[in-house]
Amino acid sequence: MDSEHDELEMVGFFLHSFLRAAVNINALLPGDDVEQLLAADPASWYPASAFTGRMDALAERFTDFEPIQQRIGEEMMRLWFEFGPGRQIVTTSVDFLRFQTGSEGYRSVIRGPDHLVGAFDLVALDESAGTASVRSSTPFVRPMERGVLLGGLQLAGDTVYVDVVQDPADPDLFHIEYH
Amino acid sequence: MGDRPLTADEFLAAERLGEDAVLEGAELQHVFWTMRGRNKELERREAFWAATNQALEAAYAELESAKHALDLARTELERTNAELEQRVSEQVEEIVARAREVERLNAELRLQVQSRSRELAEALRKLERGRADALAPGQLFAQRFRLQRTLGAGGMGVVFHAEDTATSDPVALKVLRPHLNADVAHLQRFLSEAETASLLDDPRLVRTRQVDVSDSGRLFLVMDYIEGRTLADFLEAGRVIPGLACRLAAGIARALEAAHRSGVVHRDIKPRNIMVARDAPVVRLLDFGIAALLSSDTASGEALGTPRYLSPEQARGLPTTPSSDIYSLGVILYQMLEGRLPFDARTPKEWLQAHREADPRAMHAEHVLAELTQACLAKRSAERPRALALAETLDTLADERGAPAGPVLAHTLHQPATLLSLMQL
Repeated sequence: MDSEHDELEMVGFFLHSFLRAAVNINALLPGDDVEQLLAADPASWYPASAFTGRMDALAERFTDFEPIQQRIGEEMMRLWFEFGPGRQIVTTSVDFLRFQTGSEGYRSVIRGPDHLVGAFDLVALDESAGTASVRSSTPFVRPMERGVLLGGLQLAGDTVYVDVVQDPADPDLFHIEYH
Repeated sequence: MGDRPLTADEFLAAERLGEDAVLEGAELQHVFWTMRGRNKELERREAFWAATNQALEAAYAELESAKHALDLARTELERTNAELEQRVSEQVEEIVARAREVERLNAELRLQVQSRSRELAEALRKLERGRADALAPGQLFAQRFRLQRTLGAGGMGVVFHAEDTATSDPVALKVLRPHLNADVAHLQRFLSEAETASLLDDPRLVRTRQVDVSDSGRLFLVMDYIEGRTLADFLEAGRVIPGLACRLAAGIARALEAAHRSGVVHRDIKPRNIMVARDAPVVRLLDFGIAALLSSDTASGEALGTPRYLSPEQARGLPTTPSSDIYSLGVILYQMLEGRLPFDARTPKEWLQAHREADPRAMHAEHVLAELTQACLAKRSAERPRALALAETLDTLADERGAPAGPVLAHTLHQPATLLSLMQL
């Protein structure tokens, strides 16, 4: 995400979720002024730079940051499911796909000019084949979104196999397979 | 398991499968995807842990590097501390050693001062008992010196030719008059200067062997005995021919150079303190350090006798320098060339004033000799020539006028028949 997008704002809950996930996978240590950031009001909106700044600081610690970003995304979904409204919303993996790509999903955690906010749209779904495609135009990094999809698709417990890959020719397009 | 195919759950839960175990259809599909799902998850987890381990290794390497740098810094600090401690220790040792040395020197000095004070006190006691005994040839003086004959007498005392009964050496014994038993300061100075002068080792300088006080309280000096006469004896006859005057003055200048080179100033250059010996070197200086016995009241000149040969700075009571001796030599040279003294003064006070302020009387001698004499008589000490340069100039002038030198000079000067003919013009 470009930290210059100061017009973008994120809800405090999202920041909490991100920080908690990073701490849980030991990418962040509790002493790294996490407590100060966690003091933010979960219902309030904050400049997106609060998220991007922290992400950039994390990136400096890892030579290969993508697996970490992906894992954060997965953990954020687990926290949402275990401690947030996720359990009430998602009963099947398809429910998650529909929810996340709808206005109550992505658009519930970020706001700002449309061209900056972007979208996270379900563009194809074949339930019998267990495949789907999602296109992202959000300012979030793709590895983390891949993690969100991976984590979210396993929340309901109705899948034994999940894989999410980016289209080699179109990195904004995720191809999903689940069984 | 029996004949029926296994369910996916049975298959996945089984720890062992029989050879006839069968899995088919949807159950097989389920197991297939489950295994693949687990593999995928494992791959993702491996990638995550690899990235994490990589970061940990990098952090560890950084920590190791920081630790190494810290260890190096610590080692350097310890080394610097040890070095500083060593230096401080050495300096303390040095200071202590110096302090001990200072203490030792102080103790030594104290002992020397005490010893000197005792010597001085003893000398003063003797001097206080001093009486103007009549001394005569034949007497044994100071329980050691047999007086032979009187060589001369003056304001300061009497000079005897004596025999050192301890060594059988002939000596010149100068016994100072009791009124010259000076105060402690002058006595100390005299003893110090006499001691310094006794260290002078040059044939042109008559060595003072001993300075002491007799049991009867008479201060006396024991000097090398020189066969010859004083320059005063020669000057009684009047003017000296120029070549001879130059040669004699050159001899005085060379003797002064020897003393000045050793840092000693005579301060009482006058014809009576200049020996004209019977062997070379012809000209020799006597009585170093005697001036220290004299009163500081040079303004009245009472203790000096007639201050005819005093330098302007001595007349002013200022410190003397080697140049002061040159002035006195200038007066003697004038006297030899002109047959009279440079100033027409009668009393000590007039002499002192003349040295300070008056111009010497015009000379009749050759211009070059007059000019050289006037240079020696400059009121300002810095304008007078130095002893060695003066000696060389005078010898050259003497050579040009055919004056004898060395043993020939000595032999010539002490021939009775030639004495007057050489001295008079």
